Amino acid sequence: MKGQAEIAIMGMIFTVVAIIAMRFPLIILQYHLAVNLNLEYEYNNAQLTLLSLVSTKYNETYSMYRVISERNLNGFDESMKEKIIFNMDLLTHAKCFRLVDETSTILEKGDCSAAKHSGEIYLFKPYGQELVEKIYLVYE
Amino acid sequence: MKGQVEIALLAVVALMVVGGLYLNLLIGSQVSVKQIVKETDVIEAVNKMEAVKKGLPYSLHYSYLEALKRGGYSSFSDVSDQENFKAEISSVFNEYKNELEEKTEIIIPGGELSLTSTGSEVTISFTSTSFLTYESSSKELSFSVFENPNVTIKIVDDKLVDWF
Repeated sequence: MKGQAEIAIMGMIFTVVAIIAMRFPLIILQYHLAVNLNLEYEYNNAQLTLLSLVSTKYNETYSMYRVISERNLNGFDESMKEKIIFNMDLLTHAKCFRLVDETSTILEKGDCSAAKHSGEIYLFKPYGQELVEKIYLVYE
Repeated sequence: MKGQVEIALLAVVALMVVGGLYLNLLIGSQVSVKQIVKETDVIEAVNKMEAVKKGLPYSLHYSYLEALKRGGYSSFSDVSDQENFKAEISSVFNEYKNELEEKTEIIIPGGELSLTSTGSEVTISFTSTSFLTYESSSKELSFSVFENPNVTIKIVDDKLVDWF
Protein backbone atom coordinates (compact mmCIF):
# COMPACT_ATOMS: atom_id res chain seq x y z
CA MET A 1 0.00 0.00 0.00
CA LYS A 2 2.86 2.31 0.92
CA GLY A 3 4.60 1.48 -2.35
CA GLN A 4 1.47 2.31 -4.35
CA ALA A 5 1.12 5.71 -2.66
CA GLU A 6 4.77 6.50 -3.44
CA ILE A 7 4.27 5.59 -7.12
CA ALA A 8 1.12 7.70 -7.25
CA ILE A 9 2.90 10.70 -5.70
CA MET A 10 5.89 10.25 -8.02
CA GLY A 11 3.54 9.94 -10.96
CA MET A 12 1.78 13.14 -9.97
CA ILE A 13 5.07 15.01 -9.53
CA PHE A 14 6.28 13.67 -12.87
CA THR A 15 3.03 14.73 -14.59
CA VAL A 16 3.15 18.25 -13.08
CA VAL A 17 6.81 18.67 -14.10
CA ALA A 18 6.05 17.36 -17.59
CA ILE A 19 3.11 19.77 -17.97
CA ILE A 20 5.22 22.75 -16.82
CA ALA A 21 8.08 21.68 -19.12
CA MET A 22 5.69 21.50 -22.06
CA ARG A 23 4.00 24.79 -21.17
CA PHE A 24 7.35 26.60 -20.92
CA PRO A 25 8.10 26.74 -24.69
CA LEU A 26 4.55 28.03 -25.22
CA ILE A 27 5.09 30.86 -22.74
CA ILE A 28 8.40 31.76 -24.44
CA LEU A 29 6.70 31.62 -27.83
CA GLN A 30 3.82 33.84 -26.67
CA TYR A 31 6.26 36.35 -25.18
CA HIS A 32 8.26 36.61 -28.42
CA LEU A 33 5.05 36.79 -30.40
CA ALA A 34 3.76 39.70 -28.31
CA VAL A 35 7.08 41.57 -28.56
CA ASN A 36 7.37 41.05 -32.32
CA LEU A 37 3.74 41.90 -32.98
CA ASN A 38 4.08 45.13 -31.05
CA LEU A 39 7.18 46.05 -33.08
CA GLU A 40 5.44 45.20 -36.35
CA TYR A 41 2.36 47.17 -35.30
CA GLU A 42 4.47 50.23 -34.53
CA TYR A 43 6.41 49.84 -37.78
CA ASN A 44 3.23 49.57 -39.87
CA ASN A 45 1.71 52.50 -37.98
CA ALA A 46 4.76 54.67 -38.66
CA GLN A 47 4.62 53.65 -42.33
CA LEU A 48 0.93 54.63 -42.50
CA THR A 49 1.69 57.93 -40.79
CA LEU A 50 4.33 58.68 -43.43
CA LEU A 51 1.87 57.73 -46.17
CA SER A 52 -0.77 60.05 -44.70
CA LEU A 53 1.79 62.83 -44.39
CA VAL A 54 2.93 62.68 -48.03
CA SER A 55 -0.71 62.53 -49.18
CA THR A 56 -1.53 65.80 -47.36
CA LYS A 57 -1.63 69.07 -49.27
CA TYR A 58 0.91 71.71 -48.33
CA ASN A 59 -0.97 74.45 -50.18
CA GLU A 60 -3.15 74.79 -53.29
CA THR A 61 -0.37 73.73 -55.64
CA TYR A 62 2.09 71.72 -53.54
CA SER A 63 1.73 68.46 -51.69
CA MET A 64 3.75 67.46 -48.65
CA TYR A 65 5.27 64.78 -50.91
CA ARG A 66 6.82 67.46 -53.11
CA VAL A 67 7.88 69.64 -50.19
CA ILE A 68 9.88 66.72 -48.77
CA SER A 69 11.18 65.22 -52.02
CA GLU A 70 12.11 68.60 -53.57
CA ARG A 71 13.59 70.11 -50.39
CA ASN A 72 17.12 70.19 -51.82
CA LEU A 73 15.88 71.90 -54.98
CA ASN A 74 13.27 74.38 -53.71
CA GLY A 75 14.59 74.94 -50.20
CA PHE A 76 13.18 73.81 -46.91
CA ASP A 77 12.44 76.77 -44.65
CA GLU A 78 11.08 76.98 -41.12
CA SER A 79 7.45 77.54 -42.21
CA MET A 80 7.59 74.30 -44.25
CA LYS A 81 9.04 72.43 -41.27
CA GLU A 82 6.41 73.89 -38.94
CA LYS A 83 3.60 72.80 -41.21
CA ILE A 84 4.99 69.26 -41.42
CA ILE A 85 5.49 69.18 -37.64
CA PHE A 86 1.88 70.35 -37.15
CA ASN A 87 0.63 67.48 -39.32
CA MET A 88 2.93 64.95 -37.69
CA ASP A 89 1.69 66.04 -34.27
CA LEU A 90 -1.84 65.17 -35.32
CA LEU A 91 -0.82 61.88 -36.90
CA THR A 92 1.54 60.50 -34.27
CA HIS A 93 0.32 61.99 -30.97
CA ALA A 94 3.98 61.63 -29.98
CA LYS A 95 5.82 64.09 -27.75
CA CYS A 96 8.83 63.93 -30.05
CA PHE A 97 9.66 62.57 -33.48
CA ARG A 98 12.25 62.76 -36.21
CA LEU A 99 11.99 62.52 -39.97
CA VAL A 100 15.27 61.25 -41.36
CA ASP A 101 16.79 60.12 -44.64
CA GLU A 102 19.61 57.61 -44.86
CA THR A 103 22.31 60.09 -43.89
CA SER A 104 20.75 63.03 -42.05
CA THR A 105 17.80 64.39 -40.09
CA ILE A 106 15.22 66.17 -42.23
CA LEU A 107 13.36 67.63 -39.26
CA GLU A 108 12.69 66.87 -35.61
CA LYS A 109 10.33 67.98 -32.88
CA GLY A 110 10.71 67.94 -29.15
CA ASP A 111 13.58 68.10 -26.73
CA CYS A 112 13.57 64.35 -26.18
CA SER A 113 15.47 61.95 -28.40
CA ALA A 114 12.99 60.01 -30.53
CA ALA A 115 14.30 56.51 -31.03
CA LYS A 116 11.61 54.00 -30.25
CA HIS A 117 9.30 53.29 -33.20
CA SER A 118 10.15 53.67 -36.84
CA GLY A 119 8.73 53.08 -40.30
CA GLU A 120 9.98 53.82 -43.77
CA ILE A 121 8.74 54.64 -47.27
CA TYR A 122 10.38 55.45 -50.60
CA LEU A 123 9.93 58.75 -52.44
CA PHE A 124 10.84 59.74 -55.98
CA LYS A 125 13.18 62.73 -56.12
CA PRO A 126 13.83 65.33 -58.83
CA TYR A 127 16.42 64.03 -61.31
CA GLY A 128 19.89 64.06 -59.80
CA GLN A 129 22.33 61.71 -58.13
CA GLU A 130 19.62 59.81 -56.30
CA LEU A 131 16.25 59.20 -57.97
CA VAL A 132 14.57 57.25 -55.19
CA GLU A 133 14.98 58.18 -51.53
CA LYS A 134 14.16 56.21 -48.43
CA ILE A 135 12.78 58.29 -45.55
CA TYR A 136 12.15 57.12 -42.00
CA LEU A 137 9.86 58.30 -39.25
CA VAL A 138 11.16 57.72 -35.74
CA TYR A 139 9.02 58.59 -32.73
CA GLU A 140 8.57 57.86 -29.05
CA MET B 1 2.87 -5.56 -7.92
CA LYS B 2 -0.03 -5.84 -10.36
CA GLY B 3 -1.55 -2.64 -8.95
CA GLN B 4 1.73 -0.75 -9.35
CA VAL B 5 2.00 -1.68 -13.04
CA GLU B 6 -1.58 -0.56 -13.61
CA ILE B 7 -0.91 2.83 -11.97
CA ALA B 8 2.28 3.26 -13.99
CA LEU B 9 0.46 2.38 -17.21
CA LEU B 10 -2.34 4.81 -16.34
CA ALA B 11 0.26 7.53 -15.66
CA VAL B 12 1.91 6.85 -19.03
CA VAL B 13 -1.43 7.03 -20.87
CA ALA B 14 -2.39 10.24 -19.01
CA LEU B 15 1.01 11.72 -19.83
CA MET B 16 0.67 10.81 -23.49
CA VAL B 17 -2.80 12.43 -23.67
CA VAL B 18 -1.62 15.64 -21.93
CA GLY B 19 1.58 15.67 -24.04
CA GLY B 20 -0.42 15.24 -27.23
CA LEU B 21 -2.72 18.12 -26.30
CA TYR B 22 0.20 20.45 -25.60
CA LEU B 23 2.07 19.39 -28.70
CA ASN B 24 -1.04 20.17 -30.70
CA LEU B 25 -1.26 23.59 -29.02
CA LEU B 26 2.43 24.25 -29.70
CA ILE B 27 2.14 23.38 -33.38
CA GLY B 28 -1.07 25.44 -33.61
CA SER B 29 0.72 28.43 -32.07
CA GLN B 30 3.60 28.12 -34.52
CA VAL B 31 1.15 28.08 -37.41
CA SER B 32 -0.46 31.24 -35.97
CA VAL B 33 2.94 32.92 -35.62
CA LYS B 34 3.75 32.17 -39.26
CA GLN B 35 0.33 33.49 -40.30
CA ILE B 36 0.84 36.72 -38.32
CA VAL B 37 4.35 37.22 -39.70
CA LYS B 38 2.92 36.77 -43.17
CA GLU B 39 0.15 39.30 -42.54
CA THR B 40 2.49 41.98 -41.18
CA ASP B 41 4.88 41.45 -44.12
CA VAL B 42 1.96 41.87 -46.51
CA ILE B 43 0.86 45.10 -44.78
CA GLU B 44 4.44 46.39 -45.03
CA ALA B 45 4.56 45.53 -48.74
CA VAL B 46 1.16 47.15 -49.40
CA ASN B 47 2.26 50.38 -47.67
CA LYS B 48 5.51 50.37 -49.63
CA MET B 49 3.57 49.86 -52.85
CA GLU B 50 1.11 52.68 -52.01
CA ALA B 51 3.96 55.16 -51.51
CA VAL B 52 5.36 54.21 -54.92
CA LYS B 53 1.92 54.54 -56.53
CA LYS B 54 1.51 58.02 -54.99
CA GLY B 55 4.93 59.01 -56.33
CA LEU B 56 4.40 57.86 -59.93
CA PRO B 57 2.93 61.20 -61.18
CA TYR B 58 5.91 63.03 -59.66
CA SER B 59 8.45 60.67 -61.24
CA LEU B 60 6.77 61.25 -64.60
CA HIS B 61 6.93 65.01 -64.09
CA TYR B 62 10.58 64.84 -62.99
CA SER B 63 11.29 62.79 -66.13
CA TYR B 64 9.59 65.49 -68.20
CA LEU B 65 11.70 68.25 -66.57
CA GLU B 66 14.93 66.28 -67.07
CA ALA B 67 14.01 65.63 -70.72
CA LEU B 68 13.56 69.39 -71.21
CA LYS B 69 16.99 69.96 -69.64
CA ARG B 70 18.69 67.28 -71.76
CA GLY B 71 17.15 68.70 -74.94
CA GLY B 72 18.36 72.17 -74.01
CA TYR B 73 14.81 73.53 -73.96
CA SER B 74 13.79 76.29 -71.56
CA SER B 75 10.13 75.28 -71.79
CA PHE B 76 7.84 72.93 -73.72
CA SER B 77 7.01 75.67 -76.26
CA ASP B 78 10.63 75.31 -77.53
CA VAL B 79 10.21 71.59 -78.26
CA SER B 80 10.13 71.05 -82.01
CA ASP B 81 10.31 67.26 -82.27
CA GLN B 82 7.71 65.81 -79.92
CA GLU B 83 8.54 62.19 -80.80
CA ASN B 84 12.18 62.60 -79.78
CA PHE B 85 11.12 64.50 -76.68
CA LYS B 86 8.73 61.69 -75.73
CA ALA B 87 11.53 59.15 -76.23
CA GLU B 88 13.76 61.20 -73.92
CA ILE B 89 11.05 61.30 -71.22
CA SER B 90 10.69 57.54 -71.59
CA SER B 91 14.45 57.07 -71.23
CA VAL B 92 14.58 59.13 -68.00
CA PHE B 93 11.47 57.40 -66.66
CA ASN B 94 13.25 54.06 -67.25
CA GLU B 95 16.07 55.26 -65.03
CA TYR B 96 13.52 55.92 -62.28
CA LYS B 97 12.04 52.48 -62.86
CA ASN B 98 15.42 50.78 -62.63
CA GLU B 99 16.48 52.56 -59.44
CA LEU B 100 13.13 51.85 -57.83
CA GLU B 101 13.44 48.16 -58.65
CA GLU B 102 16.98 48.08 -57.32
CA LYS B 103 16.06 49.74 -54.04
CA THR B 104 12.59 48.38 -53.31
CA GLU B 105 12.17 45.28 -55.52
CA ILE B 106 8.94 46.87 -56.77
CA ILE B 107 8.70 46.40 -60.51
CA ILE B 108 7.12 49.05 -62.71
CA PRO B 109 6.07 47.10 -65.82
CA GLY B 110 6.92 48.09 -69.35
CA GLY B 111 4.31 50.31 -70.94
CA GLU B 112 3.49 53.01 -73.43
CA LEU B 113 4.20 56.68 -72.87
CA SER B 114 1.94 59.08 -74.74
CA LEU B 115 2.24 62.83 -74.99
CA THR B 116 -0.35 65.33 -76.23
CA SER B 117 -0.32 69.09 -76.03
CA THR B 118 -2.57 72.08 -76.56
CA GLY B 119 -0.84 75.41 -76.13
CA SER B 120 1.08 75.40 -72.86
CA GLU B 121 -0.84 72.39 -71.53
CA VAL B 122 0.92 69.04 -71.85
CA THR B 123 -0.67 65.71 -71.01
CA ILE B 124 1.57 62.71 -70.44
CA SER B 125 0.18 59.23 -69.84
CA PHE B 126 1.89 56.03 -68.86
CA THR B 127 -0.21 52.99 -69.67
CA SER B 128 0.57 49.35 -69.18
CA THR B 129 -1.38 46.13 -69.41
CA SER B 130 0.62 44.69 -66.48
CA PHE B 131 0.72 45.65 -62.82
CA LEU B 132 3.16 47.26 -60.45
CA THR B 133 4.43 44.15 -58.72
CA TYR B 134 6.15 43.29 -55.49
CA GLU B 135 6.99 39.66 -54.88
CA SER B 136 8.26 38.16 -51.67
CA SER B 137 9.39 34.59 -51.56
CA SER B 138 10.92 32.61 -48.77
CA LYS B 139 10.80 29.07 -47.43
CA GLU B 140 8.04 30.02 -45.00
CA LEU B 141 5.86 32.24 -47.15
CA SER B 142 5.41 33.61 -50.64
CA PHE B 143 3.14 36.40 -51.73
CA SER B 144 2.73 39.06 -54.42
CA VAL B 145 1.24 42.54 -54.19
CA PHE B 146 -0.15 44.22 -57.30
CA GLU B 147 -1.19 47.77 -58.12
CA ASN B 148 -2.38 49.60 -61.19
CA PRO B 149 0.56 51.58 -62.67
CA ASN B 150 -1.44 53.65 -65.16
CA VAL B 151 -1.11 57.37 -64.60
CA THR B 152 -1.86 60.58 -66.50
CA ILE B 153 -0.41 63.95 -65.59
CA LYS B 154 -1.31 67.45 -66.75
CA ILE B 155 1.45 70.01 -66.99
CA VAL B 156 0.83 73.73 -67.56
CA ASP B 157 3.81 76.04 -68.05
CA ASP B 158 6.05 73.10 -67.07
CA LYS B 159 4.33 72.83 -63.67
CA LEU B 160 2.47 69.73 -62.57
CA VAL B 161 -1.14 70.83 -62.06
CA ASP B 162 -3.16 67.63 -62.03
CA TRP B 163 -2.90 63.85 -62.22
CA PHE B 164 -5.16 60.83 -62.15
